[in-house]
Amino acid sequence: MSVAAQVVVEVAMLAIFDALLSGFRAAAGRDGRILKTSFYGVALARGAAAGVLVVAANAMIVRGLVASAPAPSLTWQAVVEAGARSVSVFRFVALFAGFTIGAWFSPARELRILPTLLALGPLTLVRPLVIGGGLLYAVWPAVEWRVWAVALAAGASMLGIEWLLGVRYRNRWRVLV
Amino acid sequence: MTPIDDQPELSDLVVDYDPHTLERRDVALATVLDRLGPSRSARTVARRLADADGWLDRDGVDEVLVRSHLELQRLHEEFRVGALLCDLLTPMLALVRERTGRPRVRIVDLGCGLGYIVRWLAFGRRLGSDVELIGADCNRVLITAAQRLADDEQLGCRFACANAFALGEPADIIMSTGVLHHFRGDALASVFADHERSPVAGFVHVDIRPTPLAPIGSWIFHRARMRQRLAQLDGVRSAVRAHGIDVLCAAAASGAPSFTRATVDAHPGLAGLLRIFQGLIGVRGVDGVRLQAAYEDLEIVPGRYRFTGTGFERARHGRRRVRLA
Repeated sequence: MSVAAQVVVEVAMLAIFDALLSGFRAAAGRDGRILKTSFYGVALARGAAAGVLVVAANAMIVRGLVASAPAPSLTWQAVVEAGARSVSVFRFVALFAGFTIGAWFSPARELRILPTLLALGPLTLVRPLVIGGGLLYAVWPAVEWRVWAVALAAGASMLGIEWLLGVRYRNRWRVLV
Repeated sequence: MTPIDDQPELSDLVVDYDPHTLERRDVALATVLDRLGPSRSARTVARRLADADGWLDRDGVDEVLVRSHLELQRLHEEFRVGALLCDLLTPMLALVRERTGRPRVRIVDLGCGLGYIVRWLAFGRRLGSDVELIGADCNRVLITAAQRLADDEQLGCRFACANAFALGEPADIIMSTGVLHHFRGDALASVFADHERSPVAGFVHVDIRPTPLAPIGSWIFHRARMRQRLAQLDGVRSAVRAHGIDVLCAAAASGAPSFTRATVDAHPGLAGLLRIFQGLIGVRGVDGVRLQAAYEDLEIVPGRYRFTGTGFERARHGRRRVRLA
């Protein structure tokens, strides 16, 4: 697999993973039932599906911007370099999040609370900063405005996805009153 | 200026009930602002709930409260508060059965809100089949929602818009989660005096343990997990307002002197980084030795409990610290 293809796959996987978690967060705190396995299952699936759509939409944007560049191969190269830099940041965040989510299933009850206290709660809070900071780090060396535009589109779509996914659940409380 | 730990939570101010009939009364914005303290954010939230005539809009308030309680349930799920209550109620059930001589025990959740704990306990009958679970709250909208949720999952519990101490069939055990910090001074002692006057045999109250980290932790989690501004603000305020164990013990001693009392996780040492709640338990007609034995013998999570008696015996990691109060 070429370096470019590897970067594209990694970026796509990270975006889908983040969207998956966005799907969970969008649904969380909006259903009062005790057993919510299927509810969260659907929410995660919606998040993942939205992630695929976001990746596809961003791929179209990249394609359009690269095709419109005076030197498409150079622009593509710059986009791939920015993608690689973003992966170097987001990969660690995703691994950390994945590890702490795994710890949630620890057989020791108090160890399940630990990742929530130390990681999952604070991570949710700093997620916009991580996305913004990671993308800024990725595109900082790029001089081509199209690379910045790609990062802007990616950041906006990742930050907006939870809000969009939450629209479905927003009025769910009404069935209770 | 009112000290911040005495400033009421917004959710306590935006609704008002007749203390006898529990009928809801209209709330004037001016009254809320008078009692709210200087917090600009809280005042903004209150103003948004008001109509043009200066009264709080009931439907708007209900929406915010229901949504806030749904988000609060999520926090309780994350911190496994249901399991904590289950652990603390199991030994209490044995003590109360011993005292009453009846296998069937009625547990009433004081200020149950959406009734998450009651429903969690009812789900799969976690306390056994001979336990009647009732949630009581003054807020009719929350009680309606709680009952709908229970009906939806066909849970063996029910909810009443009522004073927990004035139910037609009185409670054997009164429990609460995150309720005690809503009462201060005489009102707190009065809650325990209600226990004393009622035929209640035991109580299990769990609330936030006040530590220097509690407000910042509460801020992080209410910011990260809650969408309602009211819930975010009240979450931090509740951590600030949480009573120290000495205050709770003194209130219980003066209000409910006939109960043998113990604290749970009031001084958990390093484990306190993980244990954000403390408990106050009490039982009538049982001495401290028996109370101690009940919590030693009935370890539903083996190795998790140890009574430290009347002193500060060092507990091993992973066990809850329960001591007589």
